[in-house]
Amino acid sequence: MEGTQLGQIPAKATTGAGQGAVDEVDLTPVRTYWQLARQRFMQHSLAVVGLIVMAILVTLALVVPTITGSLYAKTSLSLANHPPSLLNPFAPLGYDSIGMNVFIRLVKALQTSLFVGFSAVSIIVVVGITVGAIAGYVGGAVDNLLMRLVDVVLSLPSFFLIVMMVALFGTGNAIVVIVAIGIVGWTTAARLVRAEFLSLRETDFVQAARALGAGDRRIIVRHMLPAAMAPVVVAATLGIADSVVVEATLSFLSFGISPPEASLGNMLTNAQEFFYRQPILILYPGLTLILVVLAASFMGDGLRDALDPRQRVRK
Amino acid sequence: MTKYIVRRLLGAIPVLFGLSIVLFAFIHLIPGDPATAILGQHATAQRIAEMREYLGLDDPLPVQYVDYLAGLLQGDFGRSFINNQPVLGEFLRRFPATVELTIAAMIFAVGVGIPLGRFAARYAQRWPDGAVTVLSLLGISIPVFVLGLTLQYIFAVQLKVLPASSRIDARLQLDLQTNFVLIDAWLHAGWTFDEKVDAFVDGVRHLVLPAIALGSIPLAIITRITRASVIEVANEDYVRTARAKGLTERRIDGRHIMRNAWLPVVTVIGLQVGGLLAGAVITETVFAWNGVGRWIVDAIGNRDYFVVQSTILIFALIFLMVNLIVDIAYAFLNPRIRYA
Repeated sequence: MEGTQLGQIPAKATTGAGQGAVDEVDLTPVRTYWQLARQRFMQHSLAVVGLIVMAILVTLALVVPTITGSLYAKTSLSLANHPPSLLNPFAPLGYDSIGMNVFIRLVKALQTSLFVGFSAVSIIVVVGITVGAIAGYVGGAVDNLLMRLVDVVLSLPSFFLIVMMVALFGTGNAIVVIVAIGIVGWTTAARLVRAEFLSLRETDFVQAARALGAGDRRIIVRHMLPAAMAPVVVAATLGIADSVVVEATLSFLSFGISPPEASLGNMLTNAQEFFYRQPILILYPGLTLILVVLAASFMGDGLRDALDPRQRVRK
Repeated sequence: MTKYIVRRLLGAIPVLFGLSIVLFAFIHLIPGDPATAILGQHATAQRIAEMREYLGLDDPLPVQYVDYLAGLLQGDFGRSFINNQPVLGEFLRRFPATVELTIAAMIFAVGVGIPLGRFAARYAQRWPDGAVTVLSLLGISIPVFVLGLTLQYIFAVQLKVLPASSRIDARLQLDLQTNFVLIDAWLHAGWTFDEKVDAFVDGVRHLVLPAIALGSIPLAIITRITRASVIEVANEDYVRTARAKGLTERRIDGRHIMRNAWLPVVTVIGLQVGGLLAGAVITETVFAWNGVGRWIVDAIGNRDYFVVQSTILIFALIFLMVNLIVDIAYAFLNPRIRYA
């Protein structure tokens, strides 16, 4: 299968990267859950493509803005509307209507988007795990109360709440955007963790830990959480895509990150203004956004299959 | 059944009540003074004090909240700070525009999504299935406003076959009565039948692009769910039995597969409504569509407190109602479900 070959290339790459033990492990019949998961992930060709694309995007977003510094906000009117040209290594995508370097700006915007996406998901995961773990572990009235809270948050028009929070507490501030997405988005993670905890609580290994005298905190953190992580990892990966889109949308509606700071959303707002003169300006931020979303979705799908212990490793 | 509906309705009350407190607290905790926001930075202190008194902003917060809640229960959703219009009236005036757009988007999503899903299921694991899967992945991944701008560019700017924005050609000078353009076209007094048809067609032409932009995500989701659901049901024993006893494929499809495959599809259609309302805000902004979505965004930008509070509350109410209707529809479609 072509897909399998594709999937194995990075597997070899990681073997080469200083993990000599992998060959040995492959020979022994015993493989840990995470090793199996990695193998299953590598067999999922779209997921691997997603991972590679995401890795490239993250590297770009980390490296280029560091080198170019504040150039992303520099305007030089003499260069305005300069067309894209691959011959110009400093501005392969040309200049926009006020002479900003589109490529440098695009990468800076990508950095903003990824920063917001990853940070918002961190909040979602931390809050979600905390609430879900408490609800699932303690149970009873606490569980009931927390789950009603989840129901309430889920029944709200979430996008409006995010827009409102951002507009009222600080338009243009990336931190506010992150917190707003986090506050509204934690419910799914909480539900997933709770469901896992409810069933884990009754398992033998948790009972055994308790019988050995482990405290609540130790049982939760050392025994139950690692076993409950799989669905959260999947939800978090898919959540990156959602958060990036929400940020871009907020910025597009001019509530999120505003110029001169760069964001994929505000680049699109700007592009809409100069629709007739330079329609191609829609293409770059639009495609970048789609690329981020697709990469994260593919990775999420791959992780879902990989982390499911019932899925078998193809040989 | 009735008991179930009543219980669900009662269950919505604490949610709305809690939400009203949250919204109220939220808005009053923010930095910045609404009186200053309305009058501008250069207003005199005296004018600002007058404005604060007029708006009731000097009362203690609990008093303001009780006033607000009492108003809500009497159908008074407050007035806009900006133009002093009652919020409810303005909401009702604009809501049909959003509903018209949402219905059009839903018709597009369901009308294309279900046949597409069935088509993919029929050719499961073959190339048409793969093509549909890629298409639906793209549909989910393209943000509404990116798709909206792209559609505008292709069909309005380049091909010039469809209008780029607004609800109807302003030159037609359509009287907005119901604010459903497609209905008002027929109600317009003094127009000949041909003129009415022209206006209707113009309204439809304006609807096409925003409806596609807004409907793309539900379309993708409905396609996926329909495909998965049809494949699952098609593997059931009773479908094999139906085929074995010699029924036509057409009958098997209609009577045996689709009847059962509907369930998850209906649920997912219902779940999309909330997303559509959020998507409508963006679509309305891209296509200069004069509905509730644009209004709420403007209101938030202007710190128009009552407008924001009330519209989000009304949206939450609609959201809850839609979920209830979906659950009930689910019960009707699936006699195996009993709500006690």
